[in-house]
Amino acid sequence: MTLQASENEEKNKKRVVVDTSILISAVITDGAYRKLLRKLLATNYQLCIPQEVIDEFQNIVKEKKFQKYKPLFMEIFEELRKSSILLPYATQNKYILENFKEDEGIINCCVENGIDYLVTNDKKTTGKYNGLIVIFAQEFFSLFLSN
Amino acid sequence: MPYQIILGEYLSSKWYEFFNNPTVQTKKTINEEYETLGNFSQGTNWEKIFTLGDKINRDLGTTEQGIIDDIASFRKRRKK
Repeated sequence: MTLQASENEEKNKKRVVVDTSILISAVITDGAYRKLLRKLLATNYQLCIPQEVIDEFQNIVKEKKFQKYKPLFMEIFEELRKSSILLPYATQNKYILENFKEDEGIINCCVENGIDYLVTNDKKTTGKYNGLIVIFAQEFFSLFLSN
Repeated sequence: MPYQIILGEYLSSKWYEFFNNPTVQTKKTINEEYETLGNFSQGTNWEKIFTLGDKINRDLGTTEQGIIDDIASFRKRRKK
């Protein structure tokens, strides 16, 4: 395959983001979310990582429960930052989510960066935001990854 | 090495300006590497991440739902 063909293939891939909870679960536990991530990486999707997700991940592992694993988490963050598809913070909040302030940043970041799907474990923000579809993880798996 | 022809001729000889263009050279090297190696990526090594995660959880002993609940309670606490 030529470089040009490979670039075109990359462009045609659907761009997907997983939320912080799914990312942390997939990293730490060998369960359904890790299976989802592995399938995503192996099929015709491009997994993008918002900087906001990495920052929240870093804040969460500052909790006492995780402190003794700090060196291992540092290695994980180093590896995550190697991703060629790190998404910057949203420059403006097109969508104001009064009742779900904690999800406002990631949704606006995905909209601004032309993401196709934001996969979440939280049903309260599922729906359409411009071209972005916020979709429940189980639904995404059964619709696109189950075969 | 990349070069450009300087416009015009002087005493029937062409003049060339040689210059170091790191972008061009890097792209050339990447293209050659690509031709040699095929589809490669310098991106995230997810299997390495999962191995590190397994190492953590061997000691932590949490479940998928356990970690989701933990994250929800950390968020709630931080919101207050």
